[in-house]
Amino acid sequence: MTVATEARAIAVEGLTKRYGQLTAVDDIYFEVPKGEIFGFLGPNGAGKTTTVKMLTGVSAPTAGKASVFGHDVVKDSFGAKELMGIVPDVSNAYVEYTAWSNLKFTGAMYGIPRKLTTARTVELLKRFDLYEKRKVKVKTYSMGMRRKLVIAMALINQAKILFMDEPTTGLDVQTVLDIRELIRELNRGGTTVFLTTHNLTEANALCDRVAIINHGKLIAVDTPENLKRAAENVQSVEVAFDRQPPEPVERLRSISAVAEVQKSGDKFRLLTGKPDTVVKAVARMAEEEGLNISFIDTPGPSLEDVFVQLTGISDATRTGGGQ
Amino acid sequence: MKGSALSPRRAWKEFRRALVIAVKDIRIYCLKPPVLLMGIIFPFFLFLAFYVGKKGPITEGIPGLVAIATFFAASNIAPVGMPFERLARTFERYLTAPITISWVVFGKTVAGFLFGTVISVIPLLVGIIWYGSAVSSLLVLIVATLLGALCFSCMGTLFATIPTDAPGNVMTVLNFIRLPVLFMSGVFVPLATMPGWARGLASVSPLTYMNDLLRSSLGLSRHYAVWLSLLILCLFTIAFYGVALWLFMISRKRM
Repeated sequence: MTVATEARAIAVEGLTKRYGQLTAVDDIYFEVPKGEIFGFLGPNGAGKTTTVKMLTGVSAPTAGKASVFGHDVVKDSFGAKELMGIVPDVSNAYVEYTAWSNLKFTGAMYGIPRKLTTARTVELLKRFDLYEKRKVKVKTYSMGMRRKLVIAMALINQAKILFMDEPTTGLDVQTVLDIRELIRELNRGGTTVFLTTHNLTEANALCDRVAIINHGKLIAVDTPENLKRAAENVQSVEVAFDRQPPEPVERLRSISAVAEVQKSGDKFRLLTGKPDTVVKAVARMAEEEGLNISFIDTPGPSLEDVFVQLTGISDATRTGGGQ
Repeated sequence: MKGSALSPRRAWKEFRRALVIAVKDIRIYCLKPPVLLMGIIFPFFLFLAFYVGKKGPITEGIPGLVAIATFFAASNIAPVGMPFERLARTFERYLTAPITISWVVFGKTVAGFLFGTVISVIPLLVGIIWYGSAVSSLLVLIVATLLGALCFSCMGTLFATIPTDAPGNVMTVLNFIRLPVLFMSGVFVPLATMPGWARGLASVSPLTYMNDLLRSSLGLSRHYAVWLSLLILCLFTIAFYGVALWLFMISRKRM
């Protein structure tokens, strides 16, 4: 996908980062149009955080270049950073400060006038349910409260582009849903979002497009649905019985069209390229064993399946996908 | 020029943000135990240990007390703050904010300078008001105090480049340097009474020149000409700051 220069929020060309002999990010290219929610996925150590660090000016690229809204992140990092809001992977608010002071400090670091910073501080603290505790030092906050504060700090400058690294990690379900809604709302208001996540459900629910990186190389950039279509050979049959058959995994794996059996709670997920053959074989097996099928489904490939197929990670090392 | 690093508008923006960092550092780190202990309590008791029971007027010791207080206070903020910032990863906030590393270093240095200046005023006022130290040159007194605080703050910034997230590690190295510097600087023993080799050693310590300037400004005997002490303190300040900035730049490139 090529985006007109004036419509680009991010343009990455041949970006590379080496630490001695290790190539953490290897000659990657991609573009993110303005107003998109762009997901950046990959297993641990794939190069996600290194890429984000280069885009946000924390780390200098070894080769290649990147720009944010036309500002080169190396040559004009000041201009690029003025347009960014950043939620890092850790909740790095000043714990000796109150939430109020943290937001005021962040506003001052972006040169926002005091009155405006105060107004935004009040608004954000209320939005994240931190207003009542605004005068309490952050060291007494729970992990979830700190996370919310760090997100609020990233929003104080009303950035044109928001870099979010695992924004919902460690939060309760309600807050996760609130933050996803917040991301959508910001995006509707025109903010471009660069979302790094392990959570494939989140990426699937939020992102217009996703990029998958592995071993420092970009292996796919497309919409979640296009990626799923490309992985249609990864189909499956999900089945549950009213009682457990003897040696169920071995029994189901013996069905000739089944490539792999995954046990998930009381269900079995049979990966196959021929779901129709497998459904019939499972029905025959149930008949022979005197079992009743309590649930059966043939779901299409999930983004997690695509991720597993493209990155080549084994099921045992899946990176928390589908959380 | 509008957006370039050299434009006055941009420099003004970054200067203000550096001051925001300085104020934040003072608010957060001046009450940290290592700062209180090594920046305020230790120099005070060290002075008491040397001057209680000593013959001669206490006013002879006031310049030394002011110099020691400034030396320890100004050089303490950055070396204590930086490891905490690395540990909590709050240092990354500067790297992602619209401010260049050179201005961040400036802000950190200003914090030490302001803290050192404020702490130096306390023994100075005690000396003048309580013990009747006479100010013979207010200008030299002010310049010596400010320049000394700046020089020692730059020294602290230099030690803050040690790449560790444990404040204790930096303090160990810092005190390994600070304590010998303190004892060879003519603060406790007048330079005139020192043997030649000791005076030679004293001449490579910035504390020697601040102490000498303070003595001069409070009407006591001095060893060096005022202009020479000022010049050498300036050179130390530039050297400390230059090397600190260079080391921060190098570590930035390695990230």
